[in-house]
Amino acid sequence: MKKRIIGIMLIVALVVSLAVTVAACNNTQKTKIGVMLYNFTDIQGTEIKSYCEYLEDNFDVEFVYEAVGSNDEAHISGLQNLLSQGCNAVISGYDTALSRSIAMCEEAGAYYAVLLGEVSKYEYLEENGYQPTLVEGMDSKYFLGGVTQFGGNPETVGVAYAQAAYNAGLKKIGAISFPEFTFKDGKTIYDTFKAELAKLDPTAEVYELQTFMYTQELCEAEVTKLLTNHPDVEAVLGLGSGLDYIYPALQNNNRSDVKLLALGYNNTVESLLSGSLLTAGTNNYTQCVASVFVRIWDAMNGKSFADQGEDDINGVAGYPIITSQAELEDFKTYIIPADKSNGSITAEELKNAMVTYNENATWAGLNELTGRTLEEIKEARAA
Amino acid sequence: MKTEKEKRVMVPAEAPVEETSETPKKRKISGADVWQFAKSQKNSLIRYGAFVLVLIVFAITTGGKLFSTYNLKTIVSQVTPLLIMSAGLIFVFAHGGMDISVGAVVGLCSLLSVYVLNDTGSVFLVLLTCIAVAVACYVINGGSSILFKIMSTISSLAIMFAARGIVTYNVSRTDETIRFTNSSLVKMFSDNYGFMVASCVIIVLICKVLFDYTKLGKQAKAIGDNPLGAAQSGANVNLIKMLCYIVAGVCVGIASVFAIARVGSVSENMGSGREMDVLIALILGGMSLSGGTKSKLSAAVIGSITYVLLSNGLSISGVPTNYISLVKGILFLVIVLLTLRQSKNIRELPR
Repeated sequence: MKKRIIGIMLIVALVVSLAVTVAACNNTQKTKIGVMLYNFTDIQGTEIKSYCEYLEDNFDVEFVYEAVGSNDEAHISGLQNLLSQGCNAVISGYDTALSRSIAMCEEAGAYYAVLLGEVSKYEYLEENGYQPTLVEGMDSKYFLGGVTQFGGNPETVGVAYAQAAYNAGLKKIGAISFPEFTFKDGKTIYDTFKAELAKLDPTAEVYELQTFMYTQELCEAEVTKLLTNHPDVEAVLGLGSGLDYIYPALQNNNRSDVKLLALGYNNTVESLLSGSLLTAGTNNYTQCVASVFVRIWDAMNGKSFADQGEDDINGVAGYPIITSQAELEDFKTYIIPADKSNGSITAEELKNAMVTYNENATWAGLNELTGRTLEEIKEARAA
Repeated sequence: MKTEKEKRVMVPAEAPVEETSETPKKRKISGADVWQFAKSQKNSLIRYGAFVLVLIVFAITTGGKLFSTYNLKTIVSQVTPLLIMSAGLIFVFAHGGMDISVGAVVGLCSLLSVYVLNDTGSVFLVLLTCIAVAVACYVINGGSSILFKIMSTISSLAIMFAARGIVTYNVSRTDETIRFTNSSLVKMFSDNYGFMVASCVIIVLICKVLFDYTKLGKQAKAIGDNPLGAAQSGANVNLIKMLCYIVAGVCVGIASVFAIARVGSVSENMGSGREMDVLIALILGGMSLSGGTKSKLSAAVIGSITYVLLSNGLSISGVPTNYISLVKGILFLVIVLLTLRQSKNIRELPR
């Protein structure tokens, strides 16, 4: 009896499902692009989604979103779910399980690109005598590369932050970042910051770089360690998401007197800039999306840049830095406006950078467009 | 002579109505009989009903994409590692144990898989390594729990931290991603869907035999109900517990190969969250995490498939990503309330 009932239930399920499958065969054919991020609720996620919606209004494209966990298996499951939805291309925020992701997209005939970071085409392994070895999948025509952050030059951030520290007259500065293996640019920025500050003010002291692994508790432990070892510290160079992790940790240690030079941006910047926050900065989300969208759109239309070399797999996105209320206003107006047609890159500018719409479009031109500084964007909008 | 307590333990909560010699052989089935049957099989009906409901709802909401060839492959590849892990860990849960180290053990096995395959090119060695490492972890886990009489949650917590620590340390030593240099060698575990299904079927069958038809499974369930009673009935409690951990280790080791083949590279987070996946799958399948005679292997099968269908179906249905966790949580709560709520007349000893 029990087996019979279960059997009947399964048959009913199967019949209904098949009927629906057959009925669903005439779908509209819009280009569908999947976007994978850890979340779409923070400023980064909402801004990326917002620009994608702007693209939907201006191109025959539909975006679908998948929030993925930070582990590799969740990433692959998310990718599979997007491909199951019939995505023609997938934009991943990160280079997690890259080779496998490319292989899966290749199998499904979908393009794949990394949004928030550059990717290396070659790896240098001990067993190969540290000779450049092509990473599996990197030569696939379905892989469209990544995006270099900090305008392709993290050193400029280090220099700008050193200048801000010097202007504030800071002498004793701690530095906290994510581990180097997860955030290489953090170390580069720290080194440049230290060297630049030494030039500007030889008496200033930058303590050794501390690192923590992505949790508030571990961050608090590092902040406490810094404050214990250097109780006279005047500021922290917060490379490991200064606003999300380090600022709360300083508050919990009752050290609101310690200034913060933060990488990162969130809604607290406005109030903190008049207090302990000296600098904030973040990726230009619009430029990141624009850079990969151009490549995807051209690839889907069978176009490519004549001047793009085989090893040119990373586009560029700028990194606006905020040090004053005036800069914050500009940031809000041109980097994260509600109406994206007044933002960093308009649909017209984007079309002009695509070979699909402009035969003379170049790879260099695309990188120039997506690497514009806040000042350059402001000038472009004023024109 | 059984004590009153033992008698109470032995009474199944949902004992089927036995036919007696007076029962007429071909009696017409009345509505009352169907109602009686439905009541007696309430948990099974809810469990399978939830599965069927999920299937129907998502078939409709996904516009049939749920059954597209690509998505069926997706479901198979997502179910395989989870199902194999759940099938093994059900032995641990059945005897009243708990394990939260499975994610970290998968991470450790995955890390070693990459090293072994890159060095030797032998898939067989990869499989052996994963099984050996997972079994070692579970022997330490079970052994410390049994020998030192510490809660199994605590011992598995220690294994979790140790295994995760090893993975993180190794990943942090290099700037390069730790990945298979030739992933085609493990393609069988990532792209051969027939092989995945066959592996699941074989492993589930073996586990079914062990769980339902051997001393190991029967005594494990008895220990889950009442360790003292089981010991007095002749079960070697410590040995059975240890064997359960070994079975779990073997399954987790095999599942690790499927997991790493699917991903192709190892990061410090590899496998994280798997412990929750397994727990949720088993609960969705109707497993009581306190173990005992009510534990059924079908919980691992139905639960794993339902769990994957839920995640996959919600995503393909176009449910906004911000709401997926909430919807999952509500569905999970409803199913748990319906299947695991203790009935008023339950006659079971408190554990």
